[in-house]
Amino acid sequence: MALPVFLILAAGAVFFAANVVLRRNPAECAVHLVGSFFCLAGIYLMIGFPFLAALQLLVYAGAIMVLFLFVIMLLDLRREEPRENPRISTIAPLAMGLLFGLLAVVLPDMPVAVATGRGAVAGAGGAEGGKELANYLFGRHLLTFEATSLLLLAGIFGVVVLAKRRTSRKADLERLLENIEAESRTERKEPPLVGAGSEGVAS
Amino acid sequence: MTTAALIATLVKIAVFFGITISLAAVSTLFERKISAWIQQRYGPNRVGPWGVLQPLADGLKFIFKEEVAPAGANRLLFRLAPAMAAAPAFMTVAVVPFTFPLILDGTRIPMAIADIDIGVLFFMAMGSLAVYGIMLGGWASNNKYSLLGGLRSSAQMISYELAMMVSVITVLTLAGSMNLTRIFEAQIPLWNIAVFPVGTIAFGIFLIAAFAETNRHPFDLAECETELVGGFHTEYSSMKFALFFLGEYSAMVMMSGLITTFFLGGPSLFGLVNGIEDPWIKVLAGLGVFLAKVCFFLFLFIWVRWTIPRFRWDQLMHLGWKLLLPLSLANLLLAGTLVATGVL
Repeated sequence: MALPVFLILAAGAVFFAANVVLRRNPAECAVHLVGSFFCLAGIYLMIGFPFLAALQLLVYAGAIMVLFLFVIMLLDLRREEPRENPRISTIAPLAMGLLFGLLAVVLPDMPVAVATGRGAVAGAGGAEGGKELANYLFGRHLLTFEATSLLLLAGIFGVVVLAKRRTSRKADLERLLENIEAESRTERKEPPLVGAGSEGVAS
Repeated sequence: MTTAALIATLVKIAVFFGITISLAAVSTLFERKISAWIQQRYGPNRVGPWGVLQPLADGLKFIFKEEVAPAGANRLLFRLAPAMAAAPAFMTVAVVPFTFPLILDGTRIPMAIADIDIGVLFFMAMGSLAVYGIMLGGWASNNKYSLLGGLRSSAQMISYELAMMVSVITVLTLAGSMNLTRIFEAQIPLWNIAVFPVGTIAFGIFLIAAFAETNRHPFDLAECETELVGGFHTEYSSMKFALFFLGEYSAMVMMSGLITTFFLGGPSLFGLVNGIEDPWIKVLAGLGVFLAKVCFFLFLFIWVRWTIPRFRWDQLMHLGWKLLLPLSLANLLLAGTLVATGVL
């Protein structure tokens, strides 16, 4: 009973994850990522972590991906064009595959290998499991846990710095004015605020 | 899982899911009837006596309508969206305890399809997924009104989810469990709505947020006809449109069931039902009490829709972020303090 269900979930997770990378439409990618999260939550349920499964759906599928989609819709992202540099697009997947292979070899020996059920949180099922998980996260792994939050903070700073590379406000304003002038000169036919069709697919 | 447990689960799925779908269908009829009474009209009265077959006629009509997809719509997401809108409400049925646990020969059969210890988390997870269908439906339609409706609804549901979940955490603090059966059993002596002030405030916040989460009046800015034609479902026709509708009404039924479980003691009625000796009569009486409470809230949903005008967009955000969220957080703090000091 358990093995076929696991195989279906695992196959689903891999299928959706592959689609996240392979699809060219950002909104479809996001939806496939949600599907992948669902399959992962199912696997968490199977190995006896209902708490983790619910959190996976609640936090990732329910909160983070909704914001992702929100941003994708607001930004009106176009269909992504194929990469210009073909060498990177062949080397990158190979490197990722190697890294994942390495992880698969190393991970079972690590104490947090929850998938094998040998980790210290093995009994984290049910409401009591939440307590166990909390003790584990905020006790033994407090430092790692807090370091992760610092990492996220660093990520946010990085994004802000990258997005605001042109630091001078004056230059920004001038550019904005130029844009407005250019727009008023050339009358635009199509307003930019449209949904799926803006990617230019005639289906 | 033994055969008996499997059969019990299948029967529970059939009965509880059937009840939910039937209630959703019946509430579409009552939506029209009650709106007619409020506006001094008759409402539907041609199909069957008193118009009772109207939901069936609607369903048939939807099935035979032509399906239209707009040019330039994203095919995959356009088809997927109605199902994604209806599924979360259907999945929530799994954790709602419809009546008292059935005790037969010493074995306790909980009367929720899945009596899991993370019931509340499951409900929250499903609640947070409900936004996808509306959002993607609006985006995939390739229509600016649909897109605006989808954007509004996602912003609205994210905003009100916060206040709703914090008020649910208040209930968890009072009950000391995340299992929905144990949450209503803890209220048999005193319903949470009567636990003044924390329970009452949490009830008020949850009720308001429930209106927003189900996209009902006065928070139905996602389909605001005066500005957005039909909002996210402008481009939808036939059964796809019907699925959106079914999802909305099932979500109403589920929200009513959860309000009942969280704040009105579920199937308990001042200790009357709880004292019944015969296990079957107790279960059936509990189911009756539960459904009566659910129907009251369904009536409230409809009553409010035809009585209160729609909010303006900035008023909606103001209410959600500047009033409900701080209030619910303060309420949670108070509840935690009271429970920790042993007052409650």
